[in-house]
Amino acid sequence: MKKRINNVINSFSGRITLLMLVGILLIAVTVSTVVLFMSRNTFKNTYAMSQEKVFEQIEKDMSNFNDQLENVIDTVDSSWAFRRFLMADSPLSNLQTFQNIYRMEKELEENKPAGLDRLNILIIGKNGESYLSRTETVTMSYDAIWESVPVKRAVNEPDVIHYMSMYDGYTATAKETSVVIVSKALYYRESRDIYAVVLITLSREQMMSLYDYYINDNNSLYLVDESDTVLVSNDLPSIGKKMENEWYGSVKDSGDGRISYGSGLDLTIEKAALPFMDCTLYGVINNESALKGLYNTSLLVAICALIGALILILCVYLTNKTTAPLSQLVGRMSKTRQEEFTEYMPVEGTIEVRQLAKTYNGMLDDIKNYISELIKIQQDKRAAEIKALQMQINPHYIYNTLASIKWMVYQGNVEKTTAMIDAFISLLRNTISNADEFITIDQEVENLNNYILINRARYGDAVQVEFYVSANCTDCLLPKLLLQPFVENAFFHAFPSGMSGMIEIYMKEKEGKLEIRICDDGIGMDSDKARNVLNSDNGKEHFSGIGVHNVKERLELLYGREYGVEIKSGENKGTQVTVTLPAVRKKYE
Amino acid sequence: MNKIKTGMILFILITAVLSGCSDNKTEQAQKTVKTEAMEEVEVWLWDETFNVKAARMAAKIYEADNPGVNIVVRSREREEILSDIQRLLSAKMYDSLPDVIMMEDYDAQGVLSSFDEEFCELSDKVDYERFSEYKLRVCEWDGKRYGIPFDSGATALFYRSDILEEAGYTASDMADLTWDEFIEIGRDVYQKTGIPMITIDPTDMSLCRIIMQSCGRWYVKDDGTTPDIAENDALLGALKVYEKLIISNAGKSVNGWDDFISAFQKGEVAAVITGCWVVSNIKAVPEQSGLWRATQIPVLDENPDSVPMSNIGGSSWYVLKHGKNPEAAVDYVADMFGNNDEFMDILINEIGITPAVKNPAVYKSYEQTDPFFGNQRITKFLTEMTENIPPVNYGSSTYVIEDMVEEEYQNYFIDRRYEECLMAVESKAAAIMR
Repeated sequence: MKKRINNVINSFSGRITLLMLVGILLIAVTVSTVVLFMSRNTFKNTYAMSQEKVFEQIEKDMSNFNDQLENVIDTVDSSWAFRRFLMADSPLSNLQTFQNIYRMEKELEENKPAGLDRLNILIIGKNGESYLSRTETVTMSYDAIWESVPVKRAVNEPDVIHYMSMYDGYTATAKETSVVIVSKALYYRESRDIYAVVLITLSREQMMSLYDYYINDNNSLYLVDESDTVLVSNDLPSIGKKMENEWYGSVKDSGDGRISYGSGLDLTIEKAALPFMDCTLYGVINNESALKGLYNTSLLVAICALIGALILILCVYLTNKTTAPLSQLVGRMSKTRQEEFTEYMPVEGTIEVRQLAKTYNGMLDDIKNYISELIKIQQDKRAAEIKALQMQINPHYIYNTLASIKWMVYQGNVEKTTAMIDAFISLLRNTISNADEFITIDQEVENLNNYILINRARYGDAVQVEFYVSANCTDCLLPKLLLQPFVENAFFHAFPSGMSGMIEIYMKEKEGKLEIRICDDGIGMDSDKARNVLNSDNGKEHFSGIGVHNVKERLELLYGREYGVEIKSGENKGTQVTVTLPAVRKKYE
Repeated sequence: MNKIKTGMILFILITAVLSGCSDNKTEQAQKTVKTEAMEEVEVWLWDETFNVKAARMAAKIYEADNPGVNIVVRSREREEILSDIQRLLSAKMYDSLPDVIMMEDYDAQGVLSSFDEEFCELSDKVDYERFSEYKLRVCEWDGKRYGIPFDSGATALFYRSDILEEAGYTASDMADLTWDEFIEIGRDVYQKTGIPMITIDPTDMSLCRIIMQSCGRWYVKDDGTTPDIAENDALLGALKVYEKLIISNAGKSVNGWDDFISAFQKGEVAAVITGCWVVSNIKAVPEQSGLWRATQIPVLDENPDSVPMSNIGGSSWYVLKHGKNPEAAVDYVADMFGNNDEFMDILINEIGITPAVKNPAVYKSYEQTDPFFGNQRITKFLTEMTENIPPVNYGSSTYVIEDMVEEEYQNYFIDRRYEECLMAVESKAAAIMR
């Protein structure tokens, strides 16, 4: 397994794929990170900027709202009906009251801000009268209202409008809920004596309608009065309590505008003082959560992975396709040396690979040509050598034969001597003078007979030689002196120390092959020795340069591997040499 | 081979992506299950001592039986509920809608005429047979029933026996009065005790409605759309009653609901003429227990159609189709206020409701005597009247026309040319209603 992985990594396509994988990952990660980082900052800024506009709108709306409330309060203050109702030292008549009440209602109606026609306005007069603009009941006693904090504040500072957050308002619908009470004292212009206090109750919903378009999961809003108490917020639990948020301390004393707060939480804070309310408005943008929805990270990763995978697959496919001929080439090249340069490459694939295949095929051709040429040269050379060898007769043989003839001359056996000289002359002529490489069986038998005759004259008649030649093969051609070495070998090695014996030579044509067997009934040899006989030159006194050892080589050079020499022998079982060669007949002109 | 490989890898990738998507879906599904775990039903209504109290009691009982439902009762102003609902519905701002609202019978037709599609039809959820006919007419539109009648607005004259006794009047003196007689008693009581009989509010002339219905008349004719003002002698009679009440000091001019309630609660007036739902506010002052009595309202002297029975206010439950949990809301109101005799019995005891039903005898507390009203069988007395209230078609512009009446009444009061006053109102009303 490990090796396979190694192979894959070291292969061409494996490396390209790996490189691509690393490259894609690197690009995906770096580009994503950089883009995310850049867009994060840009988004943060643009988001803060867009929210700033919204925030400014809230500031304006608050100011407008305050103006509207001021207008309502002015209406009450400047209305003769309300004045009469709230200031009257002597009670009005029933009819006057009937008309006055209607008049009050009408005037208030006309000056109520748009969208706030059910505004909860409670007016309590010093004279014990009270007026409520709505169809509901006041749940607090007259005296308790005068003792309440918003009224006290209004009385202490009669010139300004006071905003206060309260839990439980003055009326039934403001029970058990947090409301904002707007209070303002009404006083006589000259004496500055307070004659009434206007208390406007704003429900959470009414306040929220001023800023709810700013509020989302990421933004929150705090309206904080000068005593750090939260008047209004979408963060409901904080309403009516002191500001406790950790960012508040560091932001409180800075000027209006956009402030970045980075310790712990990544916040952008908008701050605006609302002097008409004696309050400060804080818009808090939680950048973490604002950005959270910006990116679908899993989708991003999925897209990257998908594209990456597609590119990888494509890359693997293409490189595989490109390098397939190369791998094929590699496989064939390693086989070539065993298969004798026959493995050609198909010419296909990219230009480079095609060129490579062409060149390789050409090279293969060249190598094959060189090798066959070389082989031919070698063969020619050997053939020439052998030809030279078969033309020469061992000088020792000549000396010894001449010495034997001399001895026979001394003996005076003229007839025998003459026969011997005739045989010797014939042998020499056939060997040296006849330049033909091939001779017929007849000629070869004649040569052998001459040779045997000389040998018998020299060494005695202990060994008999018999020829059995089929009639159909007498004119078959065979290389000159092919059989002589075997006969010589049998003479000298099969029958040591004057042992008598028989050599039989059979020749016949069989299925287009000439089969020659040379059998003796001598001492024979073991199979190791028999093998050596064909491969080594062990005789000292050869007739010619050709011995048993190069007969085989000669035949192979002439006819190919399917022809040759075979020796069968065993200790005291005689030796049988079989020579096979193609039957080629002499052509007579 | 390569192609097959490529295909397989693609297939695996696509499956992975798809399975990723399906994972998201199951997550979302789980989230919605979570939020559905507690169904919230928001109820908007008014009157702390009456409607709100009833809804809260019902919520307590209902939540005990249905632990998955959370009922949020919000006490608001009647006019505010009406204007908010109309605003939200016409803007289709369904996010801010409540689930259940209570609507006064005068407003119901006006709202249903424009927004009947926005309310849940309750025809087959509630046994409507039990409710009084005149209530059913109010809460149906186009043959479909949308509201569940809650309380009757049967009108009575509630008075302080102690103050009247002080001025020398007994219970029999207070029975079967005409308006003139009533005003005379009022004048006398004021002179003797300094206490006016009733409150009158120039911004809410409810006596006009009481007197008109007691004569079987209304601001509009029976078709609900044709103004019936200039020729309306019941309305003319009512305006004259107002004049006499003012001049005689029998009627104390007050402003708004708070003054109206606090006047009788503080003993600043000796009587109240209004719907029976006021009982809960009367009984909110335990010190006055036993001092109160109830009797029939006065009739108009010169009007032969006038009967001592009338109706004022009264309201019904409506469920909004696009609230947060309409099914739970329907179940809540139908279960508690539509088909629940047992709970109605509790309400009779707790808030003194006068049920608007045909057969009130099914309630155990029906014939009960009430020590607060000197052991009068108050529920029985009020309920019995319910069946005899002359039915009228309120149309959809009751309060619009009444505003005009109030305005013109101020203008013409000095000369007391009420015929002209009513003609002025009619021409305005005709213009508005066309």
